[in-house]
Amino acid sequence: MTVTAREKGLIACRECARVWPVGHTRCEVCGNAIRSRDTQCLQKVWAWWIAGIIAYIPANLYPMLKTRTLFHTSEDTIIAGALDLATHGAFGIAAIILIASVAIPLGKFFAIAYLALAVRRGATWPPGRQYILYEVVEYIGRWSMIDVFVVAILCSLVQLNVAASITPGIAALTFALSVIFTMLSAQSLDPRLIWDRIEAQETKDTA
Amino acid sequence: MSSDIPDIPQNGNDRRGIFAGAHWVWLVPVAAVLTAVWVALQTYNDQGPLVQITFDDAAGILPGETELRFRNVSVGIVEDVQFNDDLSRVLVDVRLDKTVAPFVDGEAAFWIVRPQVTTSGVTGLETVLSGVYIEGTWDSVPGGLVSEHQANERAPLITTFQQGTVIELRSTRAAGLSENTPILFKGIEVGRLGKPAISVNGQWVSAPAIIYDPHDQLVTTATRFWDTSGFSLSVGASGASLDFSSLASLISGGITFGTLVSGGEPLRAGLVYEVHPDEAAARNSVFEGSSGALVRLTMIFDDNVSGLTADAAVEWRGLRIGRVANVSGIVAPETFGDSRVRLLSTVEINTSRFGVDANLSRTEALEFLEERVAEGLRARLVTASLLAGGLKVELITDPDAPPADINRDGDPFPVFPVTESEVSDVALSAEGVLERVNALPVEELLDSAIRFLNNASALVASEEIRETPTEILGLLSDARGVIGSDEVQALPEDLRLLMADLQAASGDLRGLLADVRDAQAVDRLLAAVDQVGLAAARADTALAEVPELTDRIAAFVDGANALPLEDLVTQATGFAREAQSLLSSDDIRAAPGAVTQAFAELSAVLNDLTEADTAEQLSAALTDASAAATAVENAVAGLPSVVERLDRIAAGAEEVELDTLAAELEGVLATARRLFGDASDADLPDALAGALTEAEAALAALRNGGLIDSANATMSSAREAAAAVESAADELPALANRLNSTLTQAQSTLRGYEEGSAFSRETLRALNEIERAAKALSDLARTIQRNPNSLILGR
Repeated sequence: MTVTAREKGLIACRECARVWPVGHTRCEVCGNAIRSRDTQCLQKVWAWWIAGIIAYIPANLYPMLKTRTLFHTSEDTIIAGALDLATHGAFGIAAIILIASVAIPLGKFFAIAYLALAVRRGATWPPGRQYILYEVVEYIGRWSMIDVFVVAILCSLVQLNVAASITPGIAALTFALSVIFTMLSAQSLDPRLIWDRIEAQETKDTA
Repeated sequence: MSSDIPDIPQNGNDRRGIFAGAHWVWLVPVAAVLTAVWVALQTYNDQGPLVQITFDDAAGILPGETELRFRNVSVGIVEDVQFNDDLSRVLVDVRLDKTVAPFVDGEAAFWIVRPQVTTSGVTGLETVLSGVYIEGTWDSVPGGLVSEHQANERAPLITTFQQGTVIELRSTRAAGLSENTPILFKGIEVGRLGKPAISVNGQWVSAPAIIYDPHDQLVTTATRFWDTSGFSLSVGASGASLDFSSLASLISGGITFGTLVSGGEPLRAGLVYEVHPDEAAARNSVFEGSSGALVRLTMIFDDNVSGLTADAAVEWRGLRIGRVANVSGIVAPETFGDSRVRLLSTVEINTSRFGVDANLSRTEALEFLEERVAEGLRARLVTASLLAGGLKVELITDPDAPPADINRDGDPFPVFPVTESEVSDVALSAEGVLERVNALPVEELLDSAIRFLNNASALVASEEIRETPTEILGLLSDARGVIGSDEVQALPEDLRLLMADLQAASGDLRGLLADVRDAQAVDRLLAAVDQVGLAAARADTALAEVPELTDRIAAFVDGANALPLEDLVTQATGFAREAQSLLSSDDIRAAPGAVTQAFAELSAVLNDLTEADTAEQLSAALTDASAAATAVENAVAGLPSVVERLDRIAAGAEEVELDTLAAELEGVLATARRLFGDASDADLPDALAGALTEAEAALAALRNGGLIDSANATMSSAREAAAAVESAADELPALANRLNSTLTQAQSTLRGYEEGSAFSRETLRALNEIERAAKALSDLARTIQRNPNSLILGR
């Protein structure tokens, strides 16, 4: 028989794991604001999630890089660039780009949406797997910024004036925003709500 | 258990309202949406209009990449490239900048700038690297957007950078007109040619041309353009000169212009100028001028001769008044009655070259020509150049031409009457010469020559001919001997001396006779004789005893009688005959100048002699002398009484110095005797005969030299003179008789001499007169003796 902190009238701090009796709004150890459940977390998740989606659209429509060589100027979007690499035989790099810039952000969107819906409506997945999914999303989210880093490094390195130059396109900015928004969205989700679902399930079963 | 869970108070739940439960994080997506919407609206707002430009060929145009540039600044970008419905055009959609959109009106022009390497330069080099772009040009006046445009194939002449006036240049040959050909003025490029095109009727090549501002002020309606492309090499007395305007014009051609006459109107767009092949043609065109009505006429020449070409000259009195526009043949049996091909030429005549008013209308000009045709103006073909053989049309006025007029109903132009052509064909003449050469009997000639040579060969081979040279050699040496002899050598000198003598004698004789004529010497001689007769009559009684005197007188008369006049007459007759035969000979040719002159003078002298009756006078003088001689004879007959009378005279004259008188008289008689004695010595006749012989010989020698026709008259005169001399000689005895009577009278005179000494003095003076007269006669005789030929030659 498991006992939750809420059942004991305690509130755990998510930063330092110290439990306080109900009534404390602030952890007196680390100063973090504490509450038993974040009732507005789903609002924040959805808000960041929508903002991330909005930022992700131009990130794919607008060019990521402006590559100007001696005779030619090319502006490539993320997908077009990856396909361009693939046509030139660089399948590995193309795959990395596609995974890092397309698959992971899209997977995050889907994963966060699934978790948010599961918290509200219940889900087929057991809460343990939901929590693993949440951990993965939270961990992998920061690596999505690798694209932005690559663009930043390329742009700072390849500035050969006349011969060639690479400048970031508008997609680099929106892509970075999109990654930030999805990270915030994932962070906004209160994982304790996942477990509350188990308790509710058991209560229903017992009832 | 869950009911035991204490109710945990929820923070912030006390807010109420529409967004009561909303977290502030929702602001982020809202802001993102707002940003997106704002960006979208901004983009849409900033987006310029889309224009569609139609190209024939869109080489190098890429959607999203190819720019539209204005003054080399990008003002738009190609958004789409597609075909029209029937794939005949390429439609290029260009997104314009909003700022320039109002200026892209109907006047805007678009073309594709490509790299171009031409003889006059390299353009569009930057597009080699960057790709082509579309250049647009439009003026500075916003005229409202026109969304559909037709692109030019190449850059228009008037662009943003090059403002000027566009005119049209045309030429009958394309050599000088090529795209981008510079128009030079004093070596400076002031214009440029556009793309040439062939006119609809195929006669012209015309090209638009721009004269840049402000150089378009240099061009007026009187300006002439000509081609300066290529180079001209001329070799003249001052050396060779190579001339070309610029290297670019040498390769690609060039056109220059000059305003050769004043009075043109300012240039305006769209004027059409003709490009002449060279400056000379351009200058000529000024004088040919476009002023005056250009009358087109048809001329149908019966002679179907080749050589008349288009552009051949139409001349009137050597002045070019027009040109042949077209030449073709015509076969019209119903008009001409046969189906021969006739030369149908269309000529253009500028009637202002006739000197009539240049503002005549075409109809008036035609009427003017009709008047001229009524006066006999006709056209004919003449050879333009003997060597080149070209033909030209010449208008001539032939008043005798059959009446004709201009057929105004002619097709295609009024038919101008023509007359017979004057075409001298060198080829025909040469052919005629060759035909004559052909007609020569060369074969017969050669046959004859062969026969002749055969005969000659046989003749030369004969023995006689072979000996001939030897004989000829002998003959020649003989002839050389004869010619080399002294006599023959002296012949010319003799002949020359003879001629000189003849000339001198003629001069003397002429002078003498002139003297005689002038001084009335004969008259005076007659008077003197008369006086002697008077004196003799008076001295009749005083001459009683003068035997010596009588003897001497008798001897004188004998001497006079003994004159060999017969020989003289014979010689003269022979001379006359000789002259006659000489004149009758046919081989008379031109005489040497001196001889001709001599004979002309001789003729004059003899004419003088005949005309002045000198011979008659001389004859009369001789007659008187004859009478005197008769008187002397009578006196001799009555000699005793004379002697008696002389005796008495002598006796009576004892005191009157009769001795002196006798001595004087004796001297007189001696002189007279000497005179006649000299004559009786036959020197005179002999000399005269010799002269005649010489003259005869001279004439005989001159017969080969020839005489002129006037010699006939001369010889007639000579014959008359000889006859006169003959008659004078016949009358010489009468002179003796006359002298006789004179002496008789002298006798009676002497008889009366005793009357006084005054008479004696008269007698003395008379005798002195006689003496002088006799001396003069003696001089005359001596002169004749010295220069007998002067009687003939008058000198």
